[in-house]
Amino acid sequence: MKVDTAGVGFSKTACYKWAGGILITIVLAGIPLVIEKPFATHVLIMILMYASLGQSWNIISGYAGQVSLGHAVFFGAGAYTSSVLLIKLGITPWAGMIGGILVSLIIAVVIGAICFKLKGHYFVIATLVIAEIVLIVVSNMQFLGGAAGIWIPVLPASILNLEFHASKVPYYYIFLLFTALTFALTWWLERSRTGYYFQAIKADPDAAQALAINIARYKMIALAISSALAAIQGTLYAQYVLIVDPYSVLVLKMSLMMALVTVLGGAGTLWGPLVGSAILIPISEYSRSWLSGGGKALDLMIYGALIIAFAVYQPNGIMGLWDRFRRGKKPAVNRCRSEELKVVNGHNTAGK
Amino acid sequence: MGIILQVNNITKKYGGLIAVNDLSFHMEEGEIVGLIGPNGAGKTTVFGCISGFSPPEAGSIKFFDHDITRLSPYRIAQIGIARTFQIVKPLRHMSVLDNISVGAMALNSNVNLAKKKALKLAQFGGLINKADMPAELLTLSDKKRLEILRCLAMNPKLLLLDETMAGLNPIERQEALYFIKSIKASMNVTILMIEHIMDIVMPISNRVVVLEYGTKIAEGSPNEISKDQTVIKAYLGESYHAAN
Repeated sequence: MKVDTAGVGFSKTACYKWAGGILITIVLAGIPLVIEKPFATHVLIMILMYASLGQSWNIISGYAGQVSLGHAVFFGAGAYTSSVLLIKLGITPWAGMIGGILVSLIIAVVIGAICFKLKGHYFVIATLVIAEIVLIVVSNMQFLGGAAGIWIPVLPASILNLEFHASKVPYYYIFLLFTALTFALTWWLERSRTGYYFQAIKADPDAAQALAINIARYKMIALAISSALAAIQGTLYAQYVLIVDPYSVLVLKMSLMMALVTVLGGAGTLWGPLVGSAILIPISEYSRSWLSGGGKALDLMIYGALIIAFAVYQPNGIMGLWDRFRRGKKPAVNRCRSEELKVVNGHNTAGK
Repeated sequence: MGIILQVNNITKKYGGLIAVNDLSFHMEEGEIVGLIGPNGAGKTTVFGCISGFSPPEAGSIKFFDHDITRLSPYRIAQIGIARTFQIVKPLRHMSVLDNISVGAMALNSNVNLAKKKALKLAQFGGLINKADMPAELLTLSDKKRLEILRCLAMNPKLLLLDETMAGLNPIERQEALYFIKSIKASMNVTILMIEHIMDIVMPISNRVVVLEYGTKIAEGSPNEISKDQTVIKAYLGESYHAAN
């Protein structure tokens, strides 16, 4: 009997995994040496950013099951905090990034305290509404530049200033580093007790409590990690585009994108956000550039079609397809066939 | 053997409905106590009170020396009271092994150790062949068994079993009964079990508490209970009682 004892020994599959990981790292690190067009580099940077943002959303919504449609707030907190600290106090964006994380954590605690008492759809609605309130408030605050936003001053290009003007390649490596850290953190989380507890809470909050899980505490931990990761991307994004305005960082579209890339790739899976981002972001960026003004909404139409197709045919996303493919090779006892599911469900209702 | 659970005059209301009315009973360490009564008698509500999911409005519940009346469900689980649910609540997409592991993690944050313990329990409970299967694909009787194993992974001192036999066919019922006996034989655990089918409770209980409309109408050994006139009346109705 083959039983999953992940991590107990160093198996052949583990070797393959490490080899694959190293190969991917080399490819990712080498890409800018091959690609010359700045726009292609820009698309890669956006893929990395949305993969990280998707992963941030994935932790609270995919793993812990608390679906948020207000994550733009944390992204915005990171972008605004570092920019304001830089402009008003001349603080380096790296310190500003930590400031952004702190602001984001405070917001997370407030949102958690208010919203975690709500269940299901009500939690989603609450996060959506909070994000819209923040958008309106920020676009009316002169201190934060109002609706026009803040321009970040052009400083000498250096790592300390987190500004590079001659090429986008340094940005690519910085985004790559933070994306790698985000995914490494999630990888570790998935294998830890905390990760198991997140999944238990998602599966059934009552059962989780009966299994001695302090669900309020673990939901808060999930939201805290998630918000900090989103804030980091906010700071990086602000330094990349050198402008922060409410209608590009705090809008609903931002929150939706984080959810969409993850759901398409596979919510609650480690690689889902990267897969989803690698598919959706090029569609969006290239359709915008090829069709320019005329194709403004085309990317959104393609998203819509993809999301509907996946919601209907493959709710577990692309990673779900991959899983199904792998499961097909396993012994019969482990195979999940829909017929079996039907029989079980029928039996279940008969029992009640 | 000391007293493990002391329920003192608890009352629980849902709006105008009194689900549990001034109920008191106690449990000795190592006992199996059956909590029986017709449908709607308030048995599951009593479990809700003890496990903290729906605390009583009045009265108190003591577990050893702790007053647990107002503790939250996860705290109560941490100090050693584990419950199953009448309508099973498996962690659906997680494997059978992971379901049990999550229980074991209450005592040990090391995932690998928790998994090892879960493997042993899966073996004990006869679910080892299905260890990799998502919990939602199990049959009802296996799901119920999984819930019990998940509880046992927390090394509880008191196990609350809510209708673990309901919805099972006669053969599965015998297996479940045998399973509960084997738990009793191999682990140091006290069991409070809800059933509304008397034939199941009687052979394995040391004592039986009978509820009707939220009130305790009888308490005693299975033998006494099966001869108790009020209990027979509650179960079979006035006319049947009169005819006999």
